[in-house]
Amino acid sequence: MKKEDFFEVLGNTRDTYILEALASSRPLSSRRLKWGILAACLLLALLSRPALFPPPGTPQEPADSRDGPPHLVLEDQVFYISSYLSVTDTLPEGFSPGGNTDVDGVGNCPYYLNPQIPEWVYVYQEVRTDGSVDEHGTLKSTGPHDAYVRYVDGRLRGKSLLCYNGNLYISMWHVNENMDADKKLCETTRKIFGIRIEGEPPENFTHTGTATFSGHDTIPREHLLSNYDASEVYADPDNPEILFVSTHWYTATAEENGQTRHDGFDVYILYSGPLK
Amino acid sequence: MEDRKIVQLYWDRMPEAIPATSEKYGGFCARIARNILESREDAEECVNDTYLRAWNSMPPHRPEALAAFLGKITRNLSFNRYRYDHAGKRGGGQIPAVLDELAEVVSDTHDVEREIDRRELIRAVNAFLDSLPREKRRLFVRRYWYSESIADIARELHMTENHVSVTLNRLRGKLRGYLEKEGFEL
Repeated sequence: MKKEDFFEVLGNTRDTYILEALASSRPLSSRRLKWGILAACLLLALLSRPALFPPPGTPQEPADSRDGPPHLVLEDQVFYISSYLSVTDTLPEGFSPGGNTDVDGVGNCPYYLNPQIPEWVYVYQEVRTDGSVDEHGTLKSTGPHDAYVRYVDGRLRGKSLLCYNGNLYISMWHVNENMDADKKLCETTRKIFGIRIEGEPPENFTHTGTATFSGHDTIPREHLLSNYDASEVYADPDNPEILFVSTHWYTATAEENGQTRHDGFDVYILYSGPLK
Repeated sequence: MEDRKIVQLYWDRMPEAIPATSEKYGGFCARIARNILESREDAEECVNDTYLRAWNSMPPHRPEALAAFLGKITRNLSFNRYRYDHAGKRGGGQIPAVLDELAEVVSDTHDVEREIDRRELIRAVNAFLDSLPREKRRLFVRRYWYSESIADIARELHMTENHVSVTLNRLRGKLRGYLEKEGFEL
């Protein structure tokens, strides 16, 4: 038997032994996943089309179109359906017809552009939700009907950005070091701080303000605007390439009785990618 | 959130199942994927694929141990990706070392004439694990299921790296002997 095949056989180890080994592990680190992914997930399910979750912000069209959510390509730029799922019955102000295009997974549909917001495209297509959520945050289902659906520049989709002193910063959770930031800065920051820290921000980083939510899928263009959440921002004037942004998360390991809340900071670094 | 509630979300086709899974088990799955794959992006993709696979599996599945259920999916997806990426060549990370060690248990040749009853083999491997003391079983599972490094295992189980290596070596020998005794010519 090949060793690789035996490795696969060992994958069928009894569940109790897998958990037993886990019980002595470090606490699970939890990782947030934006609400948007669930929205996209539901929409994709509603569209009755198998799809994977692509790496956010990937500008290239998926090699195999079945491997990505619905998307369209305009002037060599890929726009994916918003991970926050914006569906409206009326065309948002400022958008005007751009023509018809093939939307992968949906078909040929009319689309709409706004030169003031080039990172968005609206597509008039069939959906099975009105885009609203109930008190539990569950998307409401409807019968099939046509609506305007937001598609987002693949370089922006799913990325947490924050504007500080006229510069954009990107969360280390989502940074693509080949596109979004200086590679060396990425590596150094990852090595020193990682993606997120628990507890207090490092010495010299002091509270400099509260970021205001600028809206999902937006590029925050004014000081202390964030496209992820309202949050507290800590900066060090002597280290202007890094910010710490308040956050919290939960873990629920076998050792914990229920779940434990953790407070800490997401690490942001200076964005030098194509979005302006 | 309790596992049974998360599983119920899948059964109710509630999309909150995905972030609830990610929040609780995202780190766990990422750790498994990163032990197998060198590329952080590939690992992340496998974790995301795990959620999709879970979404497509529940229903009809209703796993009793959600962590193990998700972990197995991640492990399979990650190893498939590893095999695809390293077809015919040796990769980096922990897997080459883990596979080399497992080559001591099996012949590492493909013998079409000798059809192995896979289900029986799985049963025998689990029976072998049943026979081990708990601490040795944990060590074995960490290395050959989670693909953790010797150094990480040593640190977490408060052993020296040499002690871990020697113990694993003995366990591989025992496993080989056990399987041979059970009639498996691997």
